Amino acid sequence: MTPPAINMNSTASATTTGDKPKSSAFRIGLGDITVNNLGQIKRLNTVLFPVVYNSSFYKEILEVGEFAKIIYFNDVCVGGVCCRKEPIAGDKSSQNLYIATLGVLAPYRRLGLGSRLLTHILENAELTSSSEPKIGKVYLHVQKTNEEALEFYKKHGFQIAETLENYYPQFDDKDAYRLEKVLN
Amino acid sequence: MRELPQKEANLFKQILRCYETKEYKKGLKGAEQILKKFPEHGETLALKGLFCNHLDKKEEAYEFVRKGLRLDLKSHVCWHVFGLLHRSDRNYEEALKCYSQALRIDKENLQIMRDYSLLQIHTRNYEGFADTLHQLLELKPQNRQFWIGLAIAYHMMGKPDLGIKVLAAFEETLKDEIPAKPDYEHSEMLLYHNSLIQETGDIQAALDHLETLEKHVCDKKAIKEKRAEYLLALGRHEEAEAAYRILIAHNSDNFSYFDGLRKSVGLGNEDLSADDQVKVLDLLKSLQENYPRSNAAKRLPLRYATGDAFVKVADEYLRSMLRKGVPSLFVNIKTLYANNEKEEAIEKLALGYLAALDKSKSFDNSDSAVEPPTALLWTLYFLAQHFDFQRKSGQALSYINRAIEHTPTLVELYMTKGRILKHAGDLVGAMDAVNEARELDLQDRFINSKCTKYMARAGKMNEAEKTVVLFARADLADPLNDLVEMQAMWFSLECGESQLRQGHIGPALKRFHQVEKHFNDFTEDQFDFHMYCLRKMTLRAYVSLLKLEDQLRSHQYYVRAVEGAVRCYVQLFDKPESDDSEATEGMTEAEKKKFRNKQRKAELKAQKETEEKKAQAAQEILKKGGKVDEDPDGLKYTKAEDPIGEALKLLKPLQEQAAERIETHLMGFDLYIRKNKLLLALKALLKSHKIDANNSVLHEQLVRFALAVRKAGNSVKPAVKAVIDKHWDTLYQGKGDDLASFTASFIEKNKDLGSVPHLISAAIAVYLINPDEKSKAEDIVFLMASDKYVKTRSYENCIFARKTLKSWRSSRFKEFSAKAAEWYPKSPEFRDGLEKCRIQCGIPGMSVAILHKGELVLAEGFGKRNEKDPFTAETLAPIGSLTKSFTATTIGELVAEGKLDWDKTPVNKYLPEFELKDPVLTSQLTLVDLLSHRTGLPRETELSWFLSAETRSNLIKRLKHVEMPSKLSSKYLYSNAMYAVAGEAAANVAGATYEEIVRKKVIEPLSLVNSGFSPVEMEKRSSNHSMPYSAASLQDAQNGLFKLEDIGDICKSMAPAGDMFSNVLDMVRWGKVIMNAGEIDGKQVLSKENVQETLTPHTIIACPRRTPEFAPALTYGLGWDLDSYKGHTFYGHDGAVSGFRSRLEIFPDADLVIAQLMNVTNSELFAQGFSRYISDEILNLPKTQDWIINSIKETESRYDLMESMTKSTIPERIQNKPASQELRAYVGEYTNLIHGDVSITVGKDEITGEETLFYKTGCLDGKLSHYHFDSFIYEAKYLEILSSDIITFRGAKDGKVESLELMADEYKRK
Repeated sequence: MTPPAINMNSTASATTTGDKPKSSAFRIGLGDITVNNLGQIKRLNTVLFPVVYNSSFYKEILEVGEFAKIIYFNDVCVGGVCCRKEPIAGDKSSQNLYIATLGVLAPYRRLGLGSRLLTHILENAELTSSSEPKIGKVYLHVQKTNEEALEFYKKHGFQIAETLENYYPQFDDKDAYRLEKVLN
Repeated sequence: MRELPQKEANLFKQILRCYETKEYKKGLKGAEQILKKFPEHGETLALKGLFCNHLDKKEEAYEFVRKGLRLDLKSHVCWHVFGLLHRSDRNYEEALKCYSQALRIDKENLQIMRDYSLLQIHTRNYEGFADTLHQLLELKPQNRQFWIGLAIAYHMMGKPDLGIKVLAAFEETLKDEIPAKPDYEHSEMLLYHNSLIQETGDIQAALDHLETLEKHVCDKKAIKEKRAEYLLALGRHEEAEAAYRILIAHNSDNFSYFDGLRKSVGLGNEDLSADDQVKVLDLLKSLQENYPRSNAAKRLPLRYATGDAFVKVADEYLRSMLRKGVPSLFVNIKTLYANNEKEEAIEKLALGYLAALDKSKSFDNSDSAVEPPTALLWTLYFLAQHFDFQRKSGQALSYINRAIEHTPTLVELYMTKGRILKHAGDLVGAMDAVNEARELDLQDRFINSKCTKYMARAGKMNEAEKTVVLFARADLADPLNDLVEMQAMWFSLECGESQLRQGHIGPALKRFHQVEKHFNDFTEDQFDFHMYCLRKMTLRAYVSLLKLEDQLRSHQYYVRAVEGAVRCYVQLFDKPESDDSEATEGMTEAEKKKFRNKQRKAELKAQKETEEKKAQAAQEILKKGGKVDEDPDGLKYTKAEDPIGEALKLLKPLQEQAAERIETHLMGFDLYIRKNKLLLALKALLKSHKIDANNSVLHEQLVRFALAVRKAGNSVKPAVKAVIDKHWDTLYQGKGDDLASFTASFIEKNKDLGSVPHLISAAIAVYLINPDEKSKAEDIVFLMASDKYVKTRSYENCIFARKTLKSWRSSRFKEFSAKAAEWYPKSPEFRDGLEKCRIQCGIPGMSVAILHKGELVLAEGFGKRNEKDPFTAETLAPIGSLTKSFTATTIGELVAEGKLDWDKTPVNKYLPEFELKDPVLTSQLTLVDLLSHRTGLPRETELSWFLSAETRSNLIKRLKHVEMPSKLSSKYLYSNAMYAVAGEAAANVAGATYEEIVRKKVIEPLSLVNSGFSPVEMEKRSSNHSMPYSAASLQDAQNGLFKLEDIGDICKSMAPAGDMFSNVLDMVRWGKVIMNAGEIDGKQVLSKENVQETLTPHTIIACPRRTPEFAPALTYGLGWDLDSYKGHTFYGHDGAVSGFRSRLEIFPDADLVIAQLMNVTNSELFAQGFSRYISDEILNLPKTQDWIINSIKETESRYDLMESMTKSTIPERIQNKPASQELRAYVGEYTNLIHGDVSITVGKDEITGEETLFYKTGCLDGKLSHYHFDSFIYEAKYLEILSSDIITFRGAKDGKVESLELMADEYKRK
C-alpha cells in the first residue's frame, strides 16, 4: 500500500513580491524522470514532504510518462511532481489522475515553478490518447490548514470536493481536503 | 622442392592472400592441404606457423616456422615469415635480422623492404630508415610515400634542411599535376614542408613560403596562425597585430590569440609596469566590447590587473559567473591564487556576496538587482572550494553543508563535500559523500568512476569493484577483466595502490604490471601508424605522434605504476617482520602466542572462505565463456627471485624518458643501494642533486650512501672509490665525513622553510647516523606540531611520521598518535574514540560538532536516531533549556532597539498581567532578575506548566497566588516559569508572538536554518529527526535495552524556557556567534554590547567544593552558565526535555565551540563528561581524570537515586482498605489558584470494562486506580516531568468530598 499522498505545498502563491529576480536571469525547463535520475526526485520528496514513499511508489512513477516530471531552474533540479492514474471501477472509458506530490525547494518558491508543473499536468491530462481511457478529473489531498496550497490549487481551477477527517493521523493537522478539477 | 605443382602453387598463392585478408583459419586449412602432399615444403610450413601464431598457438607457430626455415634456408619467404613472427612478439632485434637476411636473398623485394623500413622507424633507427627509403626510391621514384618517408627521416635526424630538399625535389615532380582545388593530402604536405622551414630557424623564409601556399591549403586557420606567429617573430608588429585581430574575430576564446595580440602591441612583458597594465586592460576592455560573448576577454583582465583594478575586474567576473551558475568557476579562478593578494581579494569578494545575498538576495545589497536563488547556491559552492583549497576543511564543510541544505539535489555539492572530507583525512566520509552524488545521477560515468576511486582509497575494494562494473558491458563473463582489456589504467592504479596500502603485495604488483603492459601496447600500437600516416599524409600529426611516443613513459600513470611497483619490490626485498606489534603491545609472551595462534586460525578460515568464493566465481566465468585468471594473487611477482632487478626493469624507461623528474633518480638510488651498486647509486644521487640539491628525500639518501660507503670500507674497489671521492665534496659540501654536522646544516638551512618532509627526512638522518640519538630524532619529528608546519602537514605525512616512529620502537609513538588525532580528528582514531565512549555510556544516538579556530574539525552522528536510521550531524532534536540563551539574546536585541531595558523598568510595566502576591516585589523585578534566576519563585510552581495546553498568559496570571520571599535576593533559584514571563513580556512589547520575534531577531539573521520552535514543527521539518529513549537502569542502557518514548509537546507554554529544536551544525554556529559577540561571516549581526551583557555574571550558583579543574565559583549570566576549565573560560548550557539532551560549550580564548545532542534520559553527566573529554583532547590539556568512566559511575548512582525517589514519594500501600464512597462521589471539578483545575470523571476502563475514575489536569490526563482509603494512584506518561504519584481525596469520610491533594497541593471542589 502506498502511504497517503500529501501536498504540503511548497509552491507559489498568488502574492507577488517585489524581490523576484529578473526573468532574463534564469532558465526554466521540465525534465523526464528516469531510472537514472530517480535519486533526484527521491531526494526532493524526502526534503519536501514528511511522508516517506516506498520503492513501489517510485517504480510506478517511472510508468506514468508525462505525469511525473522534474523541473530545472538554471539547470539545477529544484522541484517535481508525481501523479498516478487511477482506473474507475465499472468505467472503462475514463480514469482519474491523482497528484501524489508536487513541490519546489524552499529557496525557489514564488518563481512560478509550481504553476509550471501543475499546468503541465493539466495540459497533458486534457490530451486524450486513443489507446487509453480519457482522464475525467484530476484530484489531490491537501492539509486543511495549508492555506497557501489551497489558494494555489484554487487559482488553477481546483475545488474542494470533500473534507476528510483524520486523513493524516501522523500529523498535528490531521484533517485534509480532497481537491479536484473536472476536465471537459 | 620449392617449386610446387600448378594446383598447389595456386593454392599457395591463395593462402598468401588469406594472410593479407586476415582469414587465418581458411589459410591454415589451405596450408595443411598442401602439406598433406608435400609435408616438407618449407614455405608452406612457415606460413602455417604464421597462421598458428594468429590463432593463438604460439608454441606451434615457432615450431612450424623454424621447421620450414630449416627445410628451406634460401627462401626469403621463410625469413620474412620468421621476421614477422618475431615482430609480433615485439622481438625487434631478431625481426630486423630476419628481414635483412630475407633482403640478402631477394634484394629488390618491395614488400620486405617496406616491412623492414617500418621496423626501422619503429625502433627509431632513422639512418637505417633513410637508407632503406633511398633504395626504395631508386626502385620506385614515383612513389609519394617513399619521398615523404625520406623527408621525415631527415627531419627526425635533426636535419630539417635535408628534409626540405627532399620535399622540394618531390614537389618539383608534381609541378604539372598540382590539384586545382585544395586537396587535403597535398595541403598537409605543404604545411609540413612549411613547418620544416620554420624548424631551420629561417622565419623569413618560412613566411615567404607560407605566402605562396594559401590557395593550395585546406587548413586556412593554420595558415593564419602561422602567419601571425611569423610576423610577430619577425618584429613586424603592426602586421602581426592585424593578423591576431583577424584570428580573434574567428575565435574569440583562444587565449593564445590574445597573447599574440598583446605581444604585437608591445605589451608582452609578464611583469607589466603600471602604465602597461592600464594599456593591457584597456585593450581587453575594447575586445570585450567587440566580443561580448568571449570568455577569454573577460577572464584575462584578472590575470593582468593588480590592486584595486584587480578587485574591480574580479568583482565583475565573479558576479557574472555566479549569476550564470558556472560550476567550473573555482577551478578556473584558482590559478590566480599563486598571488596571495589576489587570493585574499577574491575571498573578501565572495564573503561579501554571501552576506549580501543572505540579507537582500543581491550581490551588494542594492535594491535593484535581485539575483536568482542559484546565485546564493553557487556562491556557497565557490566558498566551500575556496576554503578547501586553503585546507581549511572545517570552514569548507560548513559552506558545503549550507549549500546542500539550500539545494539538496545538486550533484556537484556532494562531489565537493567528498573532496573536502578526503583532504581532512576522512576517507570513509568522503566515500559516502561521493556515493550520494552517484546515487543522484546514475548515468554519469565520471561520477561513477570518481566514486570507485574514493572507495578504493577508503580501502573498500569490494564496493569499488561493484561500482566500477556498473558501467562495464553487462553481457561479459568477467566485467572486471573487461576494464583491463579497455586499458582503464586509473582503475588498475587505484586498485594496486589500495592493495599496497593494505599490504597485499602480490595483487598490487599484478595491477602495476597491468599498467606497464598497457604502455607496451601503446608503443606497439604506433606500428600501424607508420604506414597509415605516410599514406594518408597526416604528417604534422605523425611527427607529433613520434615525439609523444618517445617520451610516452614519462606520463604520470606510468610513473605512478613504477612508484607503486618499486615500493612493492623493495618491501619484498626487505621482508619486514609481521605488523602486529601494535596489537600485541603490553602482552606477555604467552598471551602473544595465544593471540597469534588465534590470528592464524582466523586467517586460515578467511583464506578458505575466499578460496571457495573464488572457485565459485571462476565457475561462473567459465560458464559464461570467459577466461579464468590463473594467478589472481600475483604470486608470479611475489616469487620473483630478484625483486630489485624486476623493479629496475620498470625503472629503466623512466631513466630514459623522464630523466628530468627527481623521483626517477630517488627510486633509482633506493634500488641500487639495495644491490650494493655504489657507482650506480652515486650516479642517481648526482642526478637528483643536480635537479634539486635541497630535496628532502635526497638528504636522507645521501646519509644512507655515506653510511654504506663507510660500512663497505676497504672492500670498495679503488677505481670505484676514486669516482666516489671525486664527487664527495660536491654532494656533502665537505662534510661527508661528519654526517652529524652535515645533517645539522641541513636542518639549519631549512629551519624557516616550514616543510614537514624536510623535518622527517632530517629526523630519519639523525637516527640513521646514530640510533642512540633517538630522542633527538623524536624531538625533530615533534617539531611538526608547531604552527610553522601547519601548511605542509598532511594526513599522509602524519601517517608516514607515525610509521617512522614505530619503526624506531619509539616510546613517544602513542603521544604522536594522539597529536595526529588532534590534527585530524575526523580521522578514524578520534571518531572511534567517541563511538567507544557512546557505547560505553549506553547512549542510543548522539551527534557532536566541534569548531576549533574556525575549523569545523568534527561534525558527526553516532548510533541511531530511531529504530533504523543513523544519527547524523544534520539530525534534529529538541534542545530544551539551551533555548534560554536565545530568549536572553532576543531580549538583548530589543534592548538595543530601545524597546526594553535590562535592569531599570519593572517587568510588570511591559506585561501588566505579571503580578506577584507582594506588590512591592511586582514593582521591582526586572528582566535581569528573571533571566538570571534570582526571583526566588518556588520550583514546584511550574509543575503544572509542563505539557500544559493553557495559554502562557493564563498561567502567568496565576503567579500572583504563589507565596514568595518578599524581598529581592541574589540567590540563584532556577526558574523556567520566569523565562516564560520574560519571553512573553518581550513579545508584548514587540507586538508579535515570542516565537516570531526570536525567529526575526536571531534565527533568520544568523541563517540558523535547522532551528525552530516546537517538537511538532521539528517532526514536520525533516524526517531526519531523533526519537527519545529511556532505560530502566544504566546496565540496560549499556546493553542496548531502551524504551522508545513519545516526543511530547512539553514546553509549549514555557517556550522561552525550552521549546526549541536544532542540530549540532546550527548549535556550533550559534556558539560561534556568541563567542564573537554577535559577529559572523564578517558581519556584526547582533548587538555586541548586549551579547556581552548576557555573558556577564549576574548570579552566583551555590555549588560547594568544586574540583580544581573548574572556576572556584560557578556563575550565571543571562541564559548561560559561566565557568572555566583548566584555565580556559567557557560559557555553556545544558538542555533536557522528554528524553533528549543538549549541551553547548564556548571557549572564547581557545576559540573552541563544542555542541552535543543525545537522545536518552539521564545523560546529563555524559554530555558534561564528553565535553571535558573533547576539550582535553582538542586543547591538549593535561589529563586529570577519566571523565568518561567517572560520568558513568555518577550516572549509575543517578539511576539509583531516581528509583528511590519515585518510591519514596508514594506511601506504602495498606492492604484491604477500600474507598469510603462509591466512585461517583469523587467526581467533580477541583481547582487550585496556582495550578489550575483538575477534573475527575467516571467511565469504563477500556481493558477491563469496569467503572474507573479518570483525571484531567491542565497538562495530564489518565486513569486512576484505587490504592488505599481515599487515595488513587496514577501514572504520568512523560518522562522527567512527573512519575507515579497518588491523589488523595479529603472529606470523603464525612460523606462529602470537598477537595483533593495532588503533589502536596490542595485543589478545592469548585
